[in-house]
Amino acid sequence: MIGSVSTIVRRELLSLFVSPIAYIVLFCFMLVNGATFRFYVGLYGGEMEPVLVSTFGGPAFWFLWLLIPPLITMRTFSEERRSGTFELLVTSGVSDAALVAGKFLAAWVFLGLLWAGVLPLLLLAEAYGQLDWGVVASTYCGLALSSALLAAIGVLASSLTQNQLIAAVLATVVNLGIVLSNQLRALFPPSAIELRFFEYVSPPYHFARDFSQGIVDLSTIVLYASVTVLALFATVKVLERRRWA
Amino acid sequence: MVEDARSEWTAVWLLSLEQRDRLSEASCGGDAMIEVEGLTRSFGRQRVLDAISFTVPARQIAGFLGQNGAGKTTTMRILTTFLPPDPISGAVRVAGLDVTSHAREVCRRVGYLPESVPIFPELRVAEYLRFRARLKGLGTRRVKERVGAVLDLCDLTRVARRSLGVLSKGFRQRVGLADALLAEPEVLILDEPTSGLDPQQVAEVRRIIGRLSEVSTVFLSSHVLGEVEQVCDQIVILGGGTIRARETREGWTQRLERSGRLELLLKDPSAGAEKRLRSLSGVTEVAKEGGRFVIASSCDVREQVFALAVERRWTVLELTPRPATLESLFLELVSDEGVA
Repeated sequence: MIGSVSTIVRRELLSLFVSPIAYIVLFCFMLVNGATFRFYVGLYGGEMEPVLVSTFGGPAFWFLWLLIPPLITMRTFSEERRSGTFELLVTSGVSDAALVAGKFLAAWVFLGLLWAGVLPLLLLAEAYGQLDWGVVASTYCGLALSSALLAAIGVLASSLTQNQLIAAVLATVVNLGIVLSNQLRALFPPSAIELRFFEYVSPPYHFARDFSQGIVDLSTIVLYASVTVLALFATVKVLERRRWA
Repeated sequence: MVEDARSEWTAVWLLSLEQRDRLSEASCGGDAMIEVEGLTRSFGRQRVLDAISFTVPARQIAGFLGQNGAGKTTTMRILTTFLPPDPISGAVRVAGLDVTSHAREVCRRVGYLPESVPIFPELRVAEYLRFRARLKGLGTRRVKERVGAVLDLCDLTRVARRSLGVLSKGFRQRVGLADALLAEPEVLILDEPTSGLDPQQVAEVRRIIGRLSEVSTVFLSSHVLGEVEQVCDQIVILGGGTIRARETREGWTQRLERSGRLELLLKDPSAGAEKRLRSLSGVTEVAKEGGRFVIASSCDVREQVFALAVERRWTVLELTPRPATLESLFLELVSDEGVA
């Protein structure tokens, strides 16, 4: 199982890096992050705390958070099914769970690499101001958890269709729904129970309340991990569907 | 040098197969490597396979013939566990293992070449084969050994470092075949293995398949009737989702002889000649083609025709057997099907 998963992860990453999409995504990602970081450093002077909060919680962050994972995951199963390589993969004795785990891990690792690319900016910033590395660590913990969730949603969307574009749109719509759920909080009075629900499921709220404050709440970890596992489980079931169709 | 390496590889494979044979014989208790009993498969309301049954004994090459849409690829996909049979369907076993309940074990024992070889264009040939070998569960040392062996066997060594995306169809087909052979499968399922190849490549692939039958059971589908006739020990004809015929090569030869026609050219044939020929026992049909009588029969009627000609004082100018071809027999067998 582990051998098959690592083989698939390696192949997926290799495919990503020999195709232009990885480099286009990397370039756009670094450009947007670099520009916004520069902007916030200029705006807040030597004050690093608001710079961190804005870099990992501003509009540009949520724009990247929404759009990048679907671009990475859209091809995972769609392309395999369209080109027929899916038939070869599943008839080589690899379990559906290993296949899904491999594809998911590759997407997750790639997203991790993207966010790791922002670290040099933070190191650079530390030369000019005081940086709370505890907050950086909790923010990266939030990024890891949310990236896992988004990668799992993207892989699930990709397993549902042979068309990469539809897979990307589907995953983006779901991600948008997750992010916008935070806006629904405005509809409820501060004491409403619904408000608690939307706070519980809203990543922007988690980033604002916990991760950017140096807090990693166990309930948040459980939420992200369980939804990720649920999405991956659903993907395995989608793949198994062919056996019962 | 190359021949030495190949025979060495074949010997190694034979040895390891002997060990596995004992295991598979223990599990299936017999000689059949592919057993299909009452296989049914539907897509929606359309029944593509309707209770088909056949077996392929170990170390034989079986050819699967049928028109487009007859259900060949569906059958092969079921044998490779990619598709399940219908829930009410009969049993399908490969190497004694049920394809539904032991899907992963079946996959490990089967080498599969799909109809249009799907590949990862971004990978190089050797890289792709290494990836496939690892996926099939081969250890690091075995990966190196097996990749080298199949590159050699399928004559791919000179393109091992080339990207799959730039290879010709012939080479891609060979890469697909090399992939199917990586894990030393007991059963090889080849869907149209020579489609799109030039005559030289076709001959090469046939030669490889012929050699493989020494160590594996081969089940191949083809549109090329001559190929099946030349290569296969057993021929199964599928039409309209049912098995129309299933014979050994010798059986086909006899069937072809039986299905032959006899051409008779008479000098000034009398008006009743056709009727008298039709009355001979065993004659099923008499047609007149350009002055010649073409006699179809269920047995050899040459002697009877000769005796009739002597009796009726006909002058026989020609009496020529016209043997049936696999093509004519195939068309006859599938002619009344509703194409699935």
